[in-house]
Amino acid sequence: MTNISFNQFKTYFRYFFVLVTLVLIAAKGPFAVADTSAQESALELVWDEQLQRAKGQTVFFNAWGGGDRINQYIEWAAKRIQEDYGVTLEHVKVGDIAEVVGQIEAAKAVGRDTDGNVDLMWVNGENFAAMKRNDLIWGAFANRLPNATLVQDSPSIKMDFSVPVEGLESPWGGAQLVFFHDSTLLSEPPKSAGALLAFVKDGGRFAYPAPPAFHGTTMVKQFLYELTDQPDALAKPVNEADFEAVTAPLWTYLDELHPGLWGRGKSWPDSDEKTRQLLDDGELDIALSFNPNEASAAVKDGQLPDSVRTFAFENGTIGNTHFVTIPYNAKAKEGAMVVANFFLSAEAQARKADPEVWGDPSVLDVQKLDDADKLAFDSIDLGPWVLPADARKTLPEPHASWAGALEEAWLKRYGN
Amino acid sequence: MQSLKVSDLTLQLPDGTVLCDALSFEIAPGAVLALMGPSGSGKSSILSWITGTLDTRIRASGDVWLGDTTLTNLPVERRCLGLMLQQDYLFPHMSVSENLKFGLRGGTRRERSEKVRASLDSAGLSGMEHRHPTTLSGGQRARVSLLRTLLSNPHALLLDEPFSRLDVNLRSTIREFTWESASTLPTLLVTHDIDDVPAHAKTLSLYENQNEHPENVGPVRGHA
Amino acid sequence: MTRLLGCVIAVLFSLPLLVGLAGSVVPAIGLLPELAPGNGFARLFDDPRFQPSVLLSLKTGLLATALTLLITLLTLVCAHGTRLWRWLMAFLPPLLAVPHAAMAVGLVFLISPSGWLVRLVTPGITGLERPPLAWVVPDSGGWSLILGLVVKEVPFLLLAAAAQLSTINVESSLRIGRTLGYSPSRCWSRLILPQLYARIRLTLLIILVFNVSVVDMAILLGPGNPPTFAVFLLSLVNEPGLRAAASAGALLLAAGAITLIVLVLIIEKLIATLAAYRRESGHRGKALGTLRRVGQVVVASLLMLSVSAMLMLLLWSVARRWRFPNALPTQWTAENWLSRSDLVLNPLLCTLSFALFVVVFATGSAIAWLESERAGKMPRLDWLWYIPLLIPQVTLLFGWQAMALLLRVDGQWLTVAYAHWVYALPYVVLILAVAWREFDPNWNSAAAVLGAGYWKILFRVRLPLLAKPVAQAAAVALAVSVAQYLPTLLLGAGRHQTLAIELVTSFGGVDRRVIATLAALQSLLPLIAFVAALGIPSLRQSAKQESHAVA
Repeated sequence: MTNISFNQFKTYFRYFFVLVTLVLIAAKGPFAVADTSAQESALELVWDEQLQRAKGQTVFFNAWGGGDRINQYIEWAAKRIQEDYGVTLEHVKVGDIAEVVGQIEAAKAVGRDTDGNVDLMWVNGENFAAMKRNDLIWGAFANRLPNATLVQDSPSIKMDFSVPVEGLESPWGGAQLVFFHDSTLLSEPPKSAGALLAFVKDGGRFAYPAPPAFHGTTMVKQFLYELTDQPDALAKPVNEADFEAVTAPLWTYLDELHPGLWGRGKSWPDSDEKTRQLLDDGELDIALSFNPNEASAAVKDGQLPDSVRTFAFENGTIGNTHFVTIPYNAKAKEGAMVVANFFLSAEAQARKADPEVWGDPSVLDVQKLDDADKLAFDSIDLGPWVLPADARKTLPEPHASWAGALEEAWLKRYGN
Repeated sequence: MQSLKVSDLTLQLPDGTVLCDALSFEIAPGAVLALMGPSGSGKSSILSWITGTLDTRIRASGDVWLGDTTLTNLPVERRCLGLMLQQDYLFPHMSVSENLKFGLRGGTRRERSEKVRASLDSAGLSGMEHRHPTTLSGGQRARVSLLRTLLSNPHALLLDEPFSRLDVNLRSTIREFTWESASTLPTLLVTHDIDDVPAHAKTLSLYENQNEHPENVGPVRGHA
Repeated sequence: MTRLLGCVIAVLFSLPLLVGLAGSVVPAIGLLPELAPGNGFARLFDDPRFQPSVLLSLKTGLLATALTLLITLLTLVCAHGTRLWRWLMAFLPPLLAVPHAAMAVGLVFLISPSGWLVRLVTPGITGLERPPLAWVVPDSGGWSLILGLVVKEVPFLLLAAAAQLSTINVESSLRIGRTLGYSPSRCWSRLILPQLYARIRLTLLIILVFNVSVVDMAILLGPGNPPTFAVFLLSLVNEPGLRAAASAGALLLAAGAITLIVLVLIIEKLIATLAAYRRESGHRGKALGTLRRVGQVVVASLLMLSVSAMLMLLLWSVARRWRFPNALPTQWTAENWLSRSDLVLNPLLCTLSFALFVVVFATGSAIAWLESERAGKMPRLDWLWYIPLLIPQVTLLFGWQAMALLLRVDGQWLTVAYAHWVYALPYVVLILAVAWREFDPNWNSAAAVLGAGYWKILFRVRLPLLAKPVAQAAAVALAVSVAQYLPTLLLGAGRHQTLAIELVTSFGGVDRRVIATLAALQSLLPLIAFVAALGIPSLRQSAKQESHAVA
C-alpha cells in the first residue's frame, strides 16, 4: 500500500519537475537576454560606421511623459528616425526622471553593466550632476555628434546648473520660467516676488507646485534669487555657502505668502500644467510654465482663453537648457547617438520650436544654418500670447546642489 | 382574551385568479379553526394577510379584528399575533435563552431570566438555557420555537403547517404540547394533513372550486 | 493529470507571494546591500514625511472603511425590499467594474471648486462669477480620498452582502421578528445583521487593507504633501539609495495592516457582546421613519455621485472648450477619441494584451484548479486565494520588483502579465468555486452512464451548464487586469503603458480632455466585458432555442 503511493508520488514528482522545467524554458524565451558583445569602442567610430551599427536597433528613450504635445513631438521624431535611419525609438514615459537615475544606480549596484533598460534619457540639473558624480553616463558622446557644430555658444549649454557638461549630455532645448494670466481678469500682473506677495495678500489667486516637483523647486529658486542678499553664493556648491543666512529671507517670505495661496499652503497643484488648467477654470489668476511659447499652442488647442498673455519678472526669471544623455549600460548606444543627433538637426529643432507642435526654444545658433533651415525658423508664428522678446531675460540656474538642499529645507518647513 | 375575526376577505393574484372571495370567520379564545386545502389554494396567503406580511402584489380587501379592534391597518409588529411556520427559525446566532428572551416582552433582567427558566421547565427543557439551537433535537427545537412565540404574549396564534417538518413519531407529542399551550388563545391552523387537526377544531376547507362562494363559517366556539 | 495541474497552479500562485515577502524583508533588514544599502528603518523614521503620512493613511483608511460599513448596513436596513433596492442591484454591478483610477478622475471633475456640481448651481443659485475658494481638490485633509474610496467600496461590500442575504432567510427573520413585535430596524440590527456580518467580514477586511494601502486613487485624490504612506513609499522605492527605507516601510505597512485586522476583530467582539447584552432586554423599538429616509438619501446620492462621475468622463472626452461656469461644453469634438493614436490607441492595445492573457489563463487555471478539487485530487485551499488580497500590494510588489531586478526580468511583458494573473486568480477562483461546488453531480453521473468520458463530460456537460458563471468570472478577470496600476508600474519598468499607467502618471500634467478619454476608455472595457458576460450565454441559449423551434 505504502509502496504504491510512494511510486505514485515519484511519478507525480517527475511530472511536476518536467513541467516546471518546461515553464521555465518557455518563460526564458521572452525573457531572453540580448547579446552582450558590448561595443565600448563605439565612441571612437566614424559616423557612417555608427549609422550602420544603429540600423535595426531599438532605442528606449526615458523621458518625462506628462506633456501631451511633447509626447506627440517624440512620436513624430520616432517616425522620422525610423524612416531615415532604420532605428526604432520607444518613448518610455516617466513621471520623474530621478526615478530612472535610481534604477540605473541600482542596476550598477547589482552589476548589470551591459544590457540596461535605458538607452537615452532626458535630464538636466541635479539629475545630470548625480549621474556624472556616480559615473552613470556612457562618455563624451555629445561632442562627436555631427550636428553638435550647429549648437549655440551659450553658458547654460556648457554648464548645466553650474556643473560642466563636458560632452556627457547633448543639448535638446531651452527653457525659462514664465507666468500666464488672463488679461481680461488681470490687466497688470505682479512682476516681482514683492509684488506677487502684495497681490496674493490682496486676494489674488496664485499657487505653485510643491517641491520636489520640478516647477515648484524652480519657483522657490526664483524667489531665492530675488530675495537673498548673497546671490553670488548660488553659483557655487551649497556646502560652500552659509545656507541659513542665504535662505533666511526666503523662508520669511514664504511664511507670509503661503496662507494666501490657493490651497492655503496645505494643498498644492501637482504640476505646471495643473496650474494652467486651474487658470482656465478660474481657480487661479496666474499659472506658471517653463516654456515661454506654451500659451500659443494652448490657446490654439482650446486649453486657454484667447485673452491669455505670458509675462516674466522684471529682473528676469530662471532659465536653463535641457539635455539628453546615454547611460553607461545602454544596450543601443549607437542608436541613441543617432537619435541625439537627429534631435539637434535643424528640421527637428525648428519643428520643436513651433508652438503649434511644442514651442520649446531651440538650442541651435540660427546664424550657423543654411538659408533653407533659417527660413524654417523664421516662418514660425508665435502669436500675441507668448513671452514678449524684451522680457526674455534669464537668470542662471543655481548650482545643481542647491536643488536638493532647498527641497529638503522646504519639505521640513511646509511638508505637513 | 378576545376572538380573532376576519370579515369579507378577498384575495386576488396579479393574473386575476381569485384565491378567496368574501371569506369571513371568527375564532373564539381557546378555539381552533383549521384551514385546509391543497397547495396553491391560498391558505398561507390568508394567514400572511392576517399577520400583515402578504406579498404586496396580491390584491387584498377585507378586515381583521381582535375583539373590537381592527388590525387591518396596523404594522406587523403591533398586531400581537403569534406566528409559527414550517421551520422553527430559531436564530442561529443566539442561544436558547437568548432566543426565548427575544420573544419575551418587558420586565427586569432578573424577571426575564426567571420567566425563561420557568417556561423551559414547563416544557421539559430544564437546564437548556445556554445550549445552542443547532445542538437541540427536532422536538426540542419545535418546543423552544413555540415557547418563544408564546412568551411574546400574543393575542392569537397562527400556525402554518407547524408539524410537517417534524419526524412522524414526534408529531403527536408536539401537537399535544401545542394545543395545551394554546388552550386560551384563538388559533388558526393551516395544514393539508387531517391528522394535524385536533378533535375540538372546526374545519374550513378550500378544496372545493375556488371561484365558488365558500361556505362562510359562523363563530367558532371554544370547547371549554 | 488534474493533480499535476493543480500542483502547478498552486505553486505558480504561492511562489510570488513568498518571493514578494522575502524581497521586501531582505532589503529592509540590510541583507541586500548592493541593491539597498544602509539601515532602512532608521532612514525611514528620519524622513519628515514618515509620521504625517502614516497618520494620514490611518485616518483615510479607517474612516473610509468605517463609512463603507456604516453606509452598507444603513442601505440594507433602509432600502432592502424597496424600489431603490432594485435600482441598486441593477446599477451597482457595472459601477463595481469601473476602475478606481477612472472613478477618481470623474470625481475630481465633479467636486472641484470649478467642478460640475458647482457649475450646476452657478451663477443661478450661488451668484458666483469665479469658482469658490472655500475648498480645493485634492484637499490636505484627505476627505476627497475618503469620498472616492467610499464611492468605490460601498458597491463592493453591498453586493457581497446582497449575495449573502439569500443564505440567511431575510424574509422569514423579518416576519418572525415583526410578529414577535419588533420594528423592522430592530429585526435587522438584532436578527439579520449579526448573521450577515460574519459572512461579509472577510470582504470588509480586504477593503480595510485596500483602503490603508491604496496607491492609484491616493495619487489622484489624496493630498500630495505629505501623501499617504503607500504613495510616500512608492516615491522612495525608485529614488537612489532609498530602497532599504522603502522596503522597511513596506514591511511596516504589512504589519500595520495585520494590526488593524486584529483591531477590527477585537472591536467586532466588543460590539457583539454589547449587542447580545442589549438584545436580552427585549425592547421592541420604534418604526424607522426619518432614519429610513436618511439612509435612502445617503445611498441614492452615492449612486448619483458615481453615475455623474462617469458622465463627467464622457462629457470631457468629447469637449473641446468647456469653461467655468458652463454646465455643458461650449465646443464639442471627437478629436480626443479619434486623432490621438499615441495617447489612446497604444495604451488600449497594451491594456488589452494583458487583459486577454489574464482572461484566458486566470479563467483556465481556475477551472483546472476547481476540477482537481472536485475530483478530490486537491484539497480546498480557499485561504490561499485570500492572501494577496490581505497583504498590501505595495509590500508584495516592492519584493517582486527587487527580485525581478536581480533576475533581470523587470520590464518584461511576461513578468507584468504574471503579476496580473496572480491578482486576478483569487477573484476568478472564488467566483467559480461557488458554481462548481453547487453543481449537481447527478449531471455528471447522467452523462457518464451514457458512456461519456471525463473530457466529454467537462466540455459537453459541465462547462456549457456553467457558461454563465464562467463568463462572469472571465469578465471579472478582465476588470482586475485593466485596473492594475502598481504591478504594471513597478514590474514593467515604465515600458508597458497601459491605460491605468497613462491615466495615473499623466493625470497631473496632461490635458484634461485626454485624461477623461483615457479614463472613459478604462471604464468602458470592463463594462463591455460585463455586458458581454451577461449577454453571450443567454444569447447562445436563445439562439439554440430558436434553432430548435425552426427544426
